[in-house]
Amino acid sequence: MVLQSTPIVASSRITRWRASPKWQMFTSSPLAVASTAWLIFVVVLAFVVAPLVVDQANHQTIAMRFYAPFRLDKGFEFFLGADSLGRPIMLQLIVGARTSVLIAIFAVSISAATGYAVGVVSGYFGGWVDNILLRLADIIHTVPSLLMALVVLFILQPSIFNLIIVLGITRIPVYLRTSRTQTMEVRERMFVEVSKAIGASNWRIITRDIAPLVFPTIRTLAMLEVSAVILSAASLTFLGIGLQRPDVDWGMMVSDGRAYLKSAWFVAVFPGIVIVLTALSANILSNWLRAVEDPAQSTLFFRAKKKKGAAEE
Amino acid sequence: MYTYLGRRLLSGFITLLGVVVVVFFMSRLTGSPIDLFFPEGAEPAQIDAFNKAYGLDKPLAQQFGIFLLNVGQGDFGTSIWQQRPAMEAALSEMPMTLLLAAIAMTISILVALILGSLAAVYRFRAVDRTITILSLMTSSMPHFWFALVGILIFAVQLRVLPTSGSNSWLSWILPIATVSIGPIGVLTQVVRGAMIDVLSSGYVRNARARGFSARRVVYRHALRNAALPIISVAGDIAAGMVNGAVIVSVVFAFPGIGRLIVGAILNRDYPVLEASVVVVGVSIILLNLLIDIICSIVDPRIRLN
Amino acid sequence: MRGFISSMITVASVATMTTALPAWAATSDKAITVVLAVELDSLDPCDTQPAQNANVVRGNVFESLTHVSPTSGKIEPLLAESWKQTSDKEWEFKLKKGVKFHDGTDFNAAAAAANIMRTQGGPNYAGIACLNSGQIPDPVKAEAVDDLTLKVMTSVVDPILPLRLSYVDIGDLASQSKPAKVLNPVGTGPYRFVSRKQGDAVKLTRFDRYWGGAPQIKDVTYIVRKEATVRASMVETGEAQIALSIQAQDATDDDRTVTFKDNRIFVMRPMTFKEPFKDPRVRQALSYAVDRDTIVPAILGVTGAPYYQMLGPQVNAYIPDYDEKSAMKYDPAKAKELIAAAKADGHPVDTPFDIITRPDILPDGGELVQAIAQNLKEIGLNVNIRSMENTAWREFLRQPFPPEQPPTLQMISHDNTSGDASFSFPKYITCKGINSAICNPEIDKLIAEAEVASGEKRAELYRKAAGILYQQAGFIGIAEQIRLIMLGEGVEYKANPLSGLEIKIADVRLKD
Repeated sequence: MVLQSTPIVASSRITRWRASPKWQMFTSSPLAVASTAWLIFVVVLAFVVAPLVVDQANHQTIAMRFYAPFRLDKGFEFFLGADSLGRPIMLQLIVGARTSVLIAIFAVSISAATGYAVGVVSGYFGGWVDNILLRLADIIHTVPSLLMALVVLFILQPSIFNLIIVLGITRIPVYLRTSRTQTMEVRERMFVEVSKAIGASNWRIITRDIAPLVFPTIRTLAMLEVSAVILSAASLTFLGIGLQRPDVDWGMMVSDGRAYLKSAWFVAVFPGIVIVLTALSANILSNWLRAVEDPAQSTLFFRAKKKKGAAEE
Repeated sequence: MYTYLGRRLLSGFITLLGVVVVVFFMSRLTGSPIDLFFPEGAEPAQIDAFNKAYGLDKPLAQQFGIFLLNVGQGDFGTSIWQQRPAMEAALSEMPMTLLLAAIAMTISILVALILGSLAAVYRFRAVDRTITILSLMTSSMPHFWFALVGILIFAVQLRVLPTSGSNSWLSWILPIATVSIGPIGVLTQVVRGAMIDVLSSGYVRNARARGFSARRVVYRHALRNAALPIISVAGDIAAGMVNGAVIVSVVFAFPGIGRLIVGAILNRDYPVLEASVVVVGVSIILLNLLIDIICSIVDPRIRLN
Repeated sequence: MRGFISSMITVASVATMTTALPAWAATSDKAITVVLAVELDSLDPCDTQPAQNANVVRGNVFESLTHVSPTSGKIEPLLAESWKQTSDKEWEFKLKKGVKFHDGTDFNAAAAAANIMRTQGGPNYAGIACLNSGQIPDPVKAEAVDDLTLKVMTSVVDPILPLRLSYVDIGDLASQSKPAKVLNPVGTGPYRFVSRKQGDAVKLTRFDRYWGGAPQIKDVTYIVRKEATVRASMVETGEAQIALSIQAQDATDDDRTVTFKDNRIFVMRPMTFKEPFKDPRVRQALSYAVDRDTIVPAILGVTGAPYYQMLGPQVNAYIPDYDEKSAMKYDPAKAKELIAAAKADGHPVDTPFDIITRPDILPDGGELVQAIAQNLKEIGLNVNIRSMENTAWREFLRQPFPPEQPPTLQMISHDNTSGDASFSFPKYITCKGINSAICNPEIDKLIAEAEVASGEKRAELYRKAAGILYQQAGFIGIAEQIRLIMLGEGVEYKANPLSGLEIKIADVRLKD
């Protein structure tokens, strides 16, 4: 893969961007393109199509129970078959997409933003504040997230909101640690000392100097986490907690189809495939973003995970 | 070295304490176990006696004080549901989970080392691309789906493996595969990355120039240096394995701490819940400690930080 | 000579052994595995009422003084040979001779009395909280007159005392020095308790000195798998020989799938004290709204049949011609009419209410409830489904119903194998009943009268009460549950109405 230099004459921003190394990297890799296409497709389904089909998706028609897939005679929406109550699986997948995407976006945003902010503050100031925050993060981190989520969601009523909150909180430690470690490293650099010498306030140093440097790592981490959150949410709903009909998400669909593996395999398999494709796309894309950041290691834009935990404490 | 050890142990202990407190209050919020053990229309006298026997009639703060006192002596109380000491129940289930996790971890590391090295050595070629894509796929697959598909194919259609339980060694195959599938994906990528780092470094080129065979270079030098990032990632993986174990215990009815915790939550068995979380927490903290120690031995720079 | 004698002895002993049992059921060394849906939670003889415990120990480890016959539905002798009512509140039971507990001690009246007293709780046994205690709502006093004669004194006139005593299982309590649950059960049944590993398996083994003759199968292991599909597959692959609570979709067409009905009805209970259910018309509309004939066969398949009453056909409160004459069958137009009428009288019929159910309420229950919810929505009701685990569900089942609790439509799967409505009605439909959401003075009066009546008069009074209940739509029947058991290759078991509670391994035969 050859990195082209940007042409000196560029007539518009788009042309310039099109010729930039990033775009070249992107288009020359079919995987990155495919992943992005799929994710965009899912998001469009989730926010544009889902509101239109919700009622149809949840409508039960006993006569259509376990209608087999790959036939068009009953209408396009039954192409992927129907579930145990005659609901069209294709439409259920679309409504499920909305749930899963919402959960993923909000949960990741909450945990990333909180972890990022708290991590920077904690890493910058150090001292006992740092210690306590780290302690709290450890506590949340020690109990395996699934267990924690199980207990909490058990107490609360099942709802999308609660699921978002629980997933958001349990994943904060990852961002907090990374953010904190990076902050501590950046803090020692020359230009920060310079800022201090000039007399810049702490707040200014944090927001202007340190935070922007930490941001790219967090952003990459967040993309990777999207895949993890989708999987976690699916695991929780698969176990039967966190959501209740008529709210539906892909994990719940797999769980519903579990009893019919022999007779109606498609009820469980289709949502499973969708989960894998979506998580995979998010994974591939996050790898690509990391490769963009560090071209030295970019071999087909796959690279190793950063060493976590080795440089702490 | 020992101050480092001491400090880590202390911080681990404090974390554990925090976890226990959180679990105590959270589990009390899920409701009382009374309803489970009483017939409909039980006499108030019976309910009172039950409450007294298990100390559930005192105010929450007092319950907590008594709880801390007992825990300090290692007594987690008697399981209401299982009618035996809670810690005994937790400790009896943990070995299975540890065994499952240990086997899965070993297999994952071995497979990852092989695949990752292959991918690194044959960088850019078809082998690399296949392995990388496969490892990305497996790390994107939810445990439960892999388990279900596994059951569908191997147990239901082909009938070569049992659907559940843990009697024969055959019934371990699917659970182990389920728990290791994610880590294999992640670790393969880590190994690959680390190996690429090392293989392109000056000192390896030096070794090659001196005429050592590629294989020797890989085994003796590269792998050793790749060990560090692998070990440090292993800690995160371990926690993830407990999650996998919970799913496995539900889908395959496999024994282990996951099954115990889910049962304790459903039965509102506070003592077992607390004891189990402590056991899991201690295991993870000790594991992380072990990993940190190994890391600091391998790379003294970390210790001196 | 010696050879001749020894062969004669062999022949003689074979002859005696086989005359004690049907000829083809000689004892074997075979072992079987039974896979259950729910794990047993107590081995105590006084906790055998819930199905998860009864399935393992009732009829196998423990027996009771009397027994409901699976064929006739009437009360029959078991450990008690005969009984008579000596006065209004006094009964005398003559016990069987020669019955031994598994530890070799004799079964006698003192043991029976101890179990009866312990089951009820009370001062000597405080804190044990026996689950069987609900079967004896008014205390009785039991005394041993002599080794084989037991005197029981009731506190109220109770014509069905022998029936109540069928729920008291007899265990050897000699080793219980202080009040605690039995962890090592010792009973009189054909199987002896071996071991129990929590979360894993319960093992029983044959008791050779059982008074009814040693059963064929030697060892039984009980394991638990929550998934119905997994249970069915285990029988198919030979990992288990008997699987309980199979779903319709896993049932086979041959004789390996056995059905039985245990008078278990899936019903809905509206909260009559709160809107929108205060007006009986709205409650009746609930019954008219549900299209049982479509959804029950489609979703439950062979495991259910549409039903309109609260109690099963074997119970004395069953109204024989109710279905044809008065059942409120599917008629959405009528349902909407009734709701409109109630609305016109000022009732807020669009008050949102919650359907309270459990994931395991019955096989395929989740889907059935969803289908019901859609039916209710179609007539304009504002319904929300809440599925929760057992403990939380029971909190909604029982009184009190605090005002801040939303109005509920509780889904209940209720069984009554005793044949007598006394085990259902007082608890569920009287004003003071712990599980009751209705208060109708006429019903209460009829039930109070029935409790002290006997025979046909008793049945008539219960039927009258039931009639009012259904007319008021206090309980709305949806489906009669048909239970499925799956048997492995070569396993024979004839299921009966009691199989939901007792799976007597002694009745299971293995073909060689």
